[in-house]
Amino acid sequence: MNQTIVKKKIGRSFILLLKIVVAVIMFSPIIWVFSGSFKGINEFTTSSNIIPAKATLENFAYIFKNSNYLVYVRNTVLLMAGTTAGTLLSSALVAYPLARMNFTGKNVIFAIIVGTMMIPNIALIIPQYIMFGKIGWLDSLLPMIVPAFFAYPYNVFLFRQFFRSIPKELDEAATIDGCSKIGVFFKVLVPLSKPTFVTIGVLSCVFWWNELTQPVFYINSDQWRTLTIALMTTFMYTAGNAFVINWPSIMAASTLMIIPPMLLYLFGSKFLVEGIKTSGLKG
Amino acid sequence: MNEVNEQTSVRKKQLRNNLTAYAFCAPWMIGFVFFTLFPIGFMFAVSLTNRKLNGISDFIGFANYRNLLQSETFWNSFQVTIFFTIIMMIVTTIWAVIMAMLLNYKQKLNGIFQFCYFLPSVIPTVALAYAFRTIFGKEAGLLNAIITSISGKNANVNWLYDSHTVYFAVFFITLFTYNTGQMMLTFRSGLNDVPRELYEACDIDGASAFRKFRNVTLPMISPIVLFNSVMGCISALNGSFALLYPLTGESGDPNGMTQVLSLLIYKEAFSNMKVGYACALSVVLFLIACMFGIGIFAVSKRMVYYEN
Amino acid sequence: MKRNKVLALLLSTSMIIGMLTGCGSSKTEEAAPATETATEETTETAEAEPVEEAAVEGTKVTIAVWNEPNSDEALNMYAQCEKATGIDVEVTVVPESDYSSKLNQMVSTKDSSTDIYVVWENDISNFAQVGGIIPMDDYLSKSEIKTDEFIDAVSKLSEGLGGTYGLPWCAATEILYYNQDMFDAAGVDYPTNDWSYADFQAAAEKLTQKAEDGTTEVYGCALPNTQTWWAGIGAAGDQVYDPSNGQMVLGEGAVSFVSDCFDMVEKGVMPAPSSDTADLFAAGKAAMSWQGSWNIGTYGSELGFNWDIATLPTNALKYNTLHTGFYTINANSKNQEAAFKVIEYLMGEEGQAINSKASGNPSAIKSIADQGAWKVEAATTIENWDAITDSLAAGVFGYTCLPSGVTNNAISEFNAALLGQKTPQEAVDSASQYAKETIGY
Repeated sequence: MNQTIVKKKIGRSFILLLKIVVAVIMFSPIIWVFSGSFKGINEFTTSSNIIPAKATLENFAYIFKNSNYLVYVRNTVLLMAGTTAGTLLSSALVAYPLARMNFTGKNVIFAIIVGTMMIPNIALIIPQYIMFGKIGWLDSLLPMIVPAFFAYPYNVFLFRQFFRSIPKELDEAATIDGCSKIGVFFKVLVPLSKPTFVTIGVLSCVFWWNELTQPVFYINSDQWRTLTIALMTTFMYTAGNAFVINWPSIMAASTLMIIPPMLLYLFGSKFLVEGIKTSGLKG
Repeated sequence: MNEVNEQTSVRKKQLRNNLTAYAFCAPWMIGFVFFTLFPIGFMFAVSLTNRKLNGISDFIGFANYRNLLQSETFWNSFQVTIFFTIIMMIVTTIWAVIMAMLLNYKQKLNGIFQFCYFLPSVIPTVALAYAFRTIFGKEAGLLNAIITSISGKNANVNWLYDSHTVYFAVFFITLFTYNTGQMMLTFRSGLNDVPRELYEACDIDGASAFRKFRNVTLPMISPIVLFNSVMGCISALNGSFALLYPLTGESGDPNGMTQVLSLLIYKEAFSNMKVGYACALSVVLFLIACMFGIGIFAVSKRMVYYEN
Repeated sequence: MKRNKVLALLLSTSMIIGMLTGCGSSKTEEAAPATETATEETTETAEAEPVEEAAVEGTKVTIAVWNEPNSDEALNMYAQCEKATGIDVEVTVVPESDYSSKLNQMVSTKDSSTDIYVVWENDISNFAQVGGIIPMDDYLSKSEIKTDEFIDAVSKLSEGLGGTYGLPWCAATEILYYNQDMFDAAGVDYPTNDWSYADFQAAAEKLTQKAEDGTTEVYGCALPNTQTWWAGIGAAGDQVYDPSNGQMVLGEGAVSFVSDCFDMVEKGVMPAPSSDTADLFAAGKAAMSWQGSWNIGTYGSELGFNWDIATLPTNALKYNTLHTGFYTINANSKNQEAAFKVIEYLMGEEGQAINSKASGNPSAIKSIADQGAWKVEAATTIENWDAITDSLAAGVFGYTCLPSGVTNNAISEFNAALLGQKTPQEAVDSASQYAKETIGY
């Protein structure tokens, strides 16, 4: 009996040790970025201390002084707000009949929506690029915001799953009270699925905060750069020399970009973690 | 007479019902036509021309496809794409299961552990890529410094440029992507749903931890494993650009070993201005995605809860 | 039940309106700066006396370049240009790695947000052909820019375009930087402008310092960078770029230079290519480095050791690539008049002198270059200023006339050879093969 308790204790501490090792591995890049942002460029390129020998704030000063940082923040926020508002509105509308109504062609439409979920965006980006170029939308946020108003298949799919979990009797009761379909949507479904809207909204914001691929293709000039692009361009090189990578400045800019998702996790982990869990399970 | 009236009114009702439904679906229909269907057709059309970035183009038939099939760069990239997608899928799934099982083992401080395990997946991949370019650096990289301090010998491994270590390094970095974090969370709830009684039955039989995992856990979570890993395929195809472009550049250093198709498309279209050729490459990537899509369909059909 | 349909209709219209406001919000953002400048313009015109000047004063001119402007305001030619002309000069920095491609995109989409492009050698004729930039001859006839005094290589490059589409912003060369303290410590003679390639190799080996376990602590020479690879190949006897057909020409020279570099990497004299690329010369971890002349301005007094410059060593011949960029006016710009005023300032004596002082790059106008503003004052340890004039004389336009995808691809191939993943011959062959597939598409 005693032996099994000892065995169990050893097992428990072994697992705890394993957990700590994995935690160190997973968190090390973030520590590395934070520490790098306080190093001078020569220290960064010659030593690999975690604690900077001579901590300096000049990298942050450099970012704010030498770039239109606030413009990049504005662009990123505009992009997040535009796409999130668009996708919430349009995807919820499209999901409604798919979840609650019977109509001809429903299965075909749903099959196409599931099918398009599988097409990676990158495969269609060149023709889209030419298309948006023709209508003069390049070098603006429009190629990313406008399509959001026409429903992302993945979000339609999520909304549909959520809507289906709401009892149908509520709709019927509202219809008897004289509500139209649109009334049912706004008066019954939307209030009941507020958490769903928050969840998908948070996921959409996280996605667009981190998105690099589409801005790389669509944005050229400084005035529409998002933070992710600025990381690859504006903060990349030392002043006056386009060939020496300014690592500490990249790390400082990365630090600033890591903080918002971190705060979101700390203060809104309910939405973030639960949201991702459900989207992963059902999506 | 009455019956006919009733029939028409039923039909009318149905029509109205259908029209309402279509009106709701209208945003998606418009979006589908303009942002998916049209670009697909347009992509095929442009791939038959020698369109350059400045817009000048001539019809050249299937010359792009002929050139592509003869190009070593293309075949290398084709193989790298398939290889990268499948291995990334396997590696991230296994890692997510390990992390989920560790977190589900009830102990103190699990909240902090989940924070550490999960946070890397919601930070920008471009920041991760730059962090790892220096962590895996040769001269002042963190990893070499750690190895040096452990082994006492001066470690000088060129992780991201050595052909023996580059794949290790790149796939290690994929453990930090959004997809891994998402899978970890879903596995956690999947594992929680495994009935306790099954484990207790095993305990009575005196089964080892490994056998418990193989005989109880794995079969119980297998639908999620399958589904997640196939979803991982798509995110690997789509997300590889954002990870590899800042990490190994458009040429997929070293020696094209990490040049997935999305990087090659970008390079041909924007560095070499060969937009027509890039469209032909996009067609190939599209077909690869369709292949994986059909795979997903086949897999998900077998899964009960998917449609339900 | 009719209400149903009406509502559905309303719904879709509201969605469309929502979409429009979505676009609208960003459009107003775009419009905002324009109104700002407009108000500025009116206030400025009220103060300015000459009526003609008022037309351009206060307008905003945007210029696309790949270099960050100098952080010292006295050395920032754009800031000085604002003061001198009263035109608001906005600089858009596009990084070097994407520069050519982003400019091509802007030209192809008839973008009007940028007024002045600083265009590279490989793009200017192409842009002129598709009408993306305008000929400046009319403006030039009324201005004092000394177009007949450009150095020969530059004027040759702009021949055959059927007009003056661009004005060279400077003439940069490639030179050898060396750490004098390390040469002193190793007892090696300083490089001279007639150093041979063998001298260079011998010195590099002597300057390398190794730790006890055989790893290198200080390299004899840093790895060639994306520019100086081509200088090494050209000096080894290859033509690099054939102006008659626009092709890349690599052969024996490239193979021998890549092999030499491979040997040096093997011996630890040169660092291997790595993901955390750093300026090892500036960090005091490499005794020599082949780089562009513009680094003189960056290093200035920042380095913690004594250093000087020399021409690149002479191998089969003396070779380095000339670098410039051309000030051009976007054909879709709405401020062409003001844009030319800005160019006029930047090409004038003051603008050219500031550019030279900040970057160390001589002016492409001979009489201005002769005044020597490019002898960067902060770089107090430099004595061998002749290195610049000698390099200019030996400089040719080479790889910069090739598409960047082709040259970047070649460098990836060379790197693979340095790491032993390919033989130098294979690397050069596949680089040439890729160039053939690409050029003339």
